[in-house]
Amino acid sequence: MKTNPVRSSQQVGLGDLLEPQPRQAASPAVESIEEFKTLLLSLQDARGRGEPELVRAQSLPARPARYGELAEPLPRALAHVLDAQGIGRLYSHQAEAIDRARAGKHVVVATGTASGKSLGYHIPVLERLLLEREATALYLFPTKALAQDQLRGLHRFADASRELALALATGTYDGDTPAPARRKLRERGNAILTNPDMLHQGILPYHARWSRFLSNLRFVVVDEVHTYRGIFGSHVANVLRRLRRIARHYGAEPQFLLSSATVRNPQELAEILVGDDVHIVDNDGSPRGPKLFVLWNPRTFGPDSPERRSASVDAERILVALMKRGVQSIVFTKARVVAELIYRYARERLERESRGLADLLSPYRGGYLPEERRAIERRLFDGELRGVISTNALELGIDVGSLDASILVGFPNTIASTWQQAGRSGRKQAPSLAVVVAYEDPVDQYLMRHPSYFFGQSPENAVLDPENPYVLASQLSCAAYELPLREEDEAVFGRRATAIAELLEEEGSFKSLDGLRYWSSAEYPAGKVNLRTISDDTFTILDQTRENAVLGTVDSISAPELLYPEAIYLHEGDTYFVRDLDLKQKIAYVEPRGVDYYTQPVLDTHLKLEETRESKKLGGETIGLGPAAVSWATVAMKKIRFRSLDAIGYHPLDLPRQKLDTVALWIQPGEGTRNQVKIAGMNPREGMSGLRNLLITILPLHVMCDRPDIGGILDSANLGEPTIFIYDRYPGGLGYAERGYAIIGELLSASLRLVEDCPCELGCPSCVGLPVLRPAQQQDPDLYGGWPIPSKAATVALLRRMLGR
Amino acid sequence: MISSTLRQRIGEMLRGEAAAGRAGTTLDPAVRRPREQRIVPTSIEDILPGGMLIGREGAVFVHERLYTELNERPTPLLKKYEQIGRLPDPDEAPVPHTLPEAIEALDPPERGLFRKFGHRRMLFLDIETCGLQSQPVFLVGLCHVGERNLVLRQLFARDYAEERSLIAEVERVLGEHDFLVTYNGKTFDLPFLRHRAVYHRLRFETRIPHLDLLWMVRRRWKDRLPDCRLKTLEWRVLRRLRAGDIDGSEIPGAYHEYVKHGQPHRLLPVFHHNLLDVVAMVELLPRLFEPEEER
Repeated sequence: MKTNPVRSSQQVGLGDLLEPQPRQAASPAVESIEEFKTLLLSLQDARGRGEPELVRAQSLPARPARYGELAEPLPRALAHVLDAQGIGRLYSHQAEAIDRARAGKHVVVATGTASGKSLGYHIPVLERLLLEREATALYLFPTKALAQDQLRGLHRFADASRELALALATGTYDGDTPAPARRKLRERGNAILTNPDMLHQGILPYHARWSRFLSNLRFVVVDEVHTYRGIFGSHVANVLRRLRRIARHYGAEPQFLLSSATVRNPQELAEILVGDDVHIVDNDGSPRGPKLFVLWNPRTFGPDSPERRSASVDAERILVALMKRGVQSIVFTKARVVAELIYRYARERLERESRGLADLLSPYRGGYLPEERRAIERRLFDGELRGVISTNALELGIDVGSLDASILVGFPNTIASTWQQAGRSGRKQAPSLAVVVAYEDPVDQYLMRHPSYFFGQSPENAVLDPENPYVLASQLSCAAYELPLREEDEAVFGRRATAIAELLEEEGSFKSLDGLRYWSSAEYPAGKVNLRTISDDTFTILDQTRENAVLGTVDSISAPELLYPEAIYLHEGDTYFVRDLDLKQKIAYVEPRGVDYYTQPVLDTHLKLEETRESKKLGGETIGLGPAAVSWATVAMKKIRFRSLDAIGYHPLDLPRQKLDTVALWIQPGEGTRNQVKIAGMNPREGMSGLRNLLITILPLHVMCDRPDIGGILDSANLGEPTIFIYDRYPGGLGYAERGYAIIGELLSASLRLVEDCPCELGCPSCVGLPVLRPAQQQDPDLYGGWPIPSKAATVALLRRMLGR
Repeated sequence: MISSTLRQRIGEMLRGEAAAGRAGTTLDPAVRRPREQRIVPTSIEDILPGGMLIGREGAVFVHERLYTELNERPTPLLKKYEQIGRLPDPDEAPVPHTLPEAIEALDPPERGLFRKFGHRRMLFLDIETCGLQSQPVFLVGLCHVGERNLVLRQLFARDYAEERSLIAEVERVLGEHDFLVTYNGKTFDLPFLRHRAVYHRLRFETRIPHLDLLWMVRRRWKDRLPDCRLKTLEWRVLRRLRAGDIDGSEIPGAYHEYVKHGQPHRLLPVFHHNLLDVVAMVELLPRLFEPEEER
């Protein structure tokens, strides 16, 4: 199979950047959502047995545009820029955001995908840069790719107005920026695009070099704030407090302009991040064509067979049919390997059936080289690509224009992500389609059986806790290194700050002099504090047959799951054989090899309780707390034939284990309790699975973290009896298990309330059924049934006994 | 990363909070550990002769020594310094006829500083800091030429707060001289001081001409030396061996310890190290203006 031709960035002419609007077909390929429905019905397997695939087709009504007027007109240059981009009038939410920002308020815009959120912050920033020569603005994006994307946006603005081009000195400042460009930006830049990690390690500790920029800092733009949740969000909130403090030191009080995708509580999230009141703009004025939202369940092999066909193969059939009909489509997958597989299948079919379209399809995921990704984004934006198969890498706001259809392979793990991905399709007037193709996984199947459940759920709350004492200890160290802490500062960092600062002083990291706390250690604290749970270390993949040319990259956590020796690594649909994985140098050596199979890692995870630091009795049960090591490794690989999914080989592997040293709390129901559940005719172990899942839902609400920040395991090996372990997914722990231990009675009562109040009959994803238990990120969900939803009755019975009710 | 003791103390704090049944107030006194018995700190003044200099921004400790006190004879050195500015003006020198002659006749452009200002108007400077960037500077070694002697002066901030007066004093002293001599000061010392002044929101607008010996050393000896560190020059050119010098990486820790716990004896090697650096510059400079020996 031939790789897609991609243009490197050097070949892009100025014309590409000047093109302001995505190309739109003169008339839509599909004129009504009824046509989408007919098309999908025709794709059902008429001869197949079992229930038909199309479970539900919900139509979401169209929405007309609502426009707004600015209280004060825009400067001429900006008005001209908007005209040049074909923006005649502002939507009501854009006008409101701009008015509020001009009035000096912190503003968060929380409107739908592709509603023009970024205009809401670009306009006030650019206006200020035009009016005030010295003014500066800092833009924060969660990824380097998004910063690049918005830089292109800023350049398009500047290209349309000479006056603006003269006033604007912009660029991205991140790990990829060469030293001379960094220096130039520090000395002369007035709109700098970066990420929180760089701000934390590369800007704030060196603030004296940034004194010009910081003393004139008028705006801080924080895009995609919904990504700042859990541990990452808790750190970022503190980094922003540090930024405000340093800016204040240089006499600046910047205004924050934020944007958020779907979450239940955007305003609260923004206010916690900024540490101040934030005005919310969420009245979306952008127009939407009608949308058809379809739930699609692949057929079972027979009326009695529980097994279903591959979700990847069904998604590929839908994609190809839509492309042939002229519908520009995006497929979202939950794992990189799935994006590669669907691409491979779809391309094979298109080469047979519709040659011209085969080159208009591309996969997209993390791990491709940046210039390849930029080229794909551009081809999508220009309307040249008619289909793209992506991981959630395209869920974030990279501007690829609007598409006609999105196909979600498997339910994303949150309602918020589902709407976000579904929202990637949908133009201003034309009808659009979103299809969720279910896996044979209990959660997916539950949603297929109860379609109204999904449509009735609101998106999740974004939770974060800047006052987490462990996060705070790290962040206060960084802050004191930058500038001694005053008493007022300690208030900025929350009610625990003084107590933590005292502990840091006792430990010798701080020294108080005249009411100021100074950093008093030879260490460089920011160098040791990672904002994200997963390190951003990467492995490089080299092609040995092309003089070790770089093929792509992969994060260090996934590397041992994707690139073990003899694995087949899929890249743009092509198969590469992994010759060697050098864990020290962080390099994988591969060579292209045509094979008819792909490989899947077999993972082994276990938890080892290092010691019981504390334990207590709760009725007949034992509750404990102690340091634990969670480790995992790829212990074997399976060879799977393409399409048929037949397992054709199994090889044990010997790779070093990856390890996380953390803190775990454990719950060990007494033998009496387990027997009582047994006597009632239920399986106590199932009840424990249910309770483990409930705790992963409940604990985050009490300790203010995100669900993926904690993990849970059921195990008998450590203590000789079945035990539930709940642990922090962060090196050293962040106090979640610790706090859970202290309030265990409350957690169990809350779990019982939740499961009893849940209207479901046997158990559902809202109560005992949820969790997404890592680590299996790199696996093809088609091959794994997922965890069964444990019995609700057993869980209730267990909890009742434990609580003596 | 957080140390294990701190982690443990935070754990105690959290359990204290949970026991008190309220999520997070300040530290429960019952949980707080009694403070360690404090060692009564001795200060640097007790072991180093010197005095306080009171300036616009506050006080700073000054330790002063003469070159003669180091058992060195200043006269031959000062003679060499006088020579630097006195060499014939290049315009009056014979016109070179060949390329090697032309190179030979090339005058180090730095000589102009001596011609213009004379060696009595120069100031040597070397700083000691708590890190390579954005951390306090606490010791500044200076040297100027006095009557028949060289005056070595070390300005010292006894705690982080005194850094402010230290920088203000350095700025003032720079203003009293006509040109500055450093080793790598164009890249390190001066930008560092400037950034610290910005940090303290102090004026630091010196435009003093600056002779950075490192640049001259590179031009002259780069190919013949393993590296251009001052210590290497000291041995290879001045034939002086430094014994018992503190490792540069230990300097920040020694200062932090002093601020926290007193114990000035641990700082003495830092003062010594700084003094030797300044002396090395003072002695190296004339050699850079001498004609090459081994041609």
